[in-house]
Amino acid sequence: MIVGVGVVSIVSIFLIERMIIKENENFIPALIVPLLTTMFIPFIFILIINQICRVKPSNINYQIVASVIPFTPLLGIARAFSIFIKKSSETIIRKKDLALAKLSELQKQSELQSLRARINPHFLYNALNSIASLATTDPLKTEKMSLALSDFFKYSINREEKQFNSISEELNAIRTYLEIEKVRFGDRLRFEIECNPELYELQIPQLVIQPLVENAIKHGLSQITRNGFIKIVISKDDEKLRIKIYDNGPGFPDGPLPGYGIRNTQERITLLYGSKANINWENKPEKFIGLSLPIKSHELIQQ
Amino acid sequence: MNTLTPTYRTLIADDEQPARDRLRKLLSDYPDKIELIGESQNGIECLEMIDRLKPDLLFLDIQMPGLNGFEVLQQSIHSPIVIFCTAFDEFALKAFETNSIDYIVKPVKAVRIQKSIEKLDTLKLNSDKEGLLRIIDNYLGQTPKKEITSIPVKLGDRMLFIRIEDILYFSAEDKYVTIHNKEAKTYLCNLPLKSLEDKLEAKFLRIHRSLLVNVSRIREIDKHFGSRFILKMDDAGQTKLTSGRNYYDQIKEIMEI
Repeated sequence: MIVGVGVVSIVSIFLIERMIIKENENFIPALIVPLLTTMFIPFIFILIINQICRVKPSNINYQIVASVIPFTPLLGIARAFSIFIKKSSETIIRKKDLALAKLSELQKQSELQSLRARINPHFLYNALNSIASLATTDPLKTEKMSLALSDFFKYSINREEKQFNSISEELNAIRTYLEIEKVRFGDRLRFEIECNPELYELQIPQLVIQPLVENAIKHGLSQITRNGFIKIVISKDDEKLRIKIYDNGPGFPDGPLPGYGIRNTQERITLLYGSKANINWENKPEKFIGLSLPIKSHELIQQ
Repeated sequence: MNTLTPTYRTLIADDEQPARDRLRKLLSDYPDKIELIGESQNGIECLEMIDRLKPDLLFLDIQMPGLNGFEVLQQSIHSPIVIFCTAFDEFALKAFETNSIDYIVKPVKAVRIQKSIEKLDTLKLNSDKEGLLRIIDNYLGQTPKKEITSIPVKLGDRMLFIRIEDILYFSAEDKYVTIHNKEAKTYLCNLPLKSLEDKLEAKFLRIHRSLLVNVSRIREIDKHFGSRFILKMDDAGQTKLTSGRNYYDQIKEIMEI
């Protein structure tokens, strides 16, 4: 009976000690608790031995054990010290890990910041040239155009520094962008956007589609003399969001690629989603560039 | 044409309607100088109109579908005075600040048009086709083509865009070219080594019939027997590559730089 109680109490003392050492950020308990427990445990041992041997204090075994007792404070101090050293080095490592994690998070943030799409200055110059031209002939269109330009810039400047935005907001910005380009390109640019309204509230990286649409205009549509066509299709399957941008301009090149647009898009979605997101293009049968992004499950439940 | 105050028969070439409208309106302030004879909406139309209408003066956008502004001038037979009119920044067009051509950046300002028109009579004197082509060749030769930044690689239904700066070297076996990156990962690439070499130009060096190496990732070059070199690469695995005999001179050249 006493043996059982003794063993249980030794074990529980150890567990309590570990807990106190682990939980406490402070160093004082880490020093004092091991000191106390190391001094206390031999007493329990003596009780156990006493019970097992059923001997009197004069017994030689008992005396050997008892003679150890004066050394227990020493043992306690040594143990407390070693635990203290271990804990403090662990703390230093943990702090370093934390700092490293923070640093890599910061690095990721700044990488994401730098990968974020920026508005091409040529787009601005050309749009302003259109506005200057319209001003003398078509005041209504001038008004519409300058307001559209201001809306699009507001969205792209993104003062709240949002990394994500809803599909509906992103599509609004793209519609505005394409309307501005339509003033420049006239009949040469037709566009269509297909997206089930059920998907409107899903979150996607802010301004992740627009650079691909801009690409489709710059390297696709602006290279052909008539009947340019752009189609944006957003759909969902297997918990993945598929975004495809079609155009009828010349196909994507084989081999080394200049410019940063698509490369940045890939690096950005990889930073945000890891290997769960990807980018792809095809030239046949229809030319398109597509993104496949994971949908967070809570977003699905919300609907 | 009146010899005292010559009018310039003028063609406008721009693929954007509002841009053409704006130029037309600004030019209408100079009825004594400018006689508008046509407008073209793309490069092909422009080329046809230059040779058919033989204008004295051409306002020419550079980025146009079909043919761009430079290609139009390279292919046309007739040679008008050219005023480039584009959203390119001024820096890019410094090359055209010569006696035979002029340039205007968008958005186009009335004062800038005025200046160009005042300059016209002096431009006319020097306008010659050969000089113009020389300037274009020179410009196209000098301006580096848009920097190559990545190589697209297909992996099933996804694509990776391998950063040029992360590539250690390309190796060729049979028909296949393998990309080796700094993390010792490899990717298959469907382009011949020769075409990669041409497209990547100065950044990569051919050191062997089947090896194309990223110059900025060479850490050390050591001499080896038989006119060969051993190139130690700048990666964690300290990759070593042995050059071919026939590439001795090219590598030597790099070492001296």
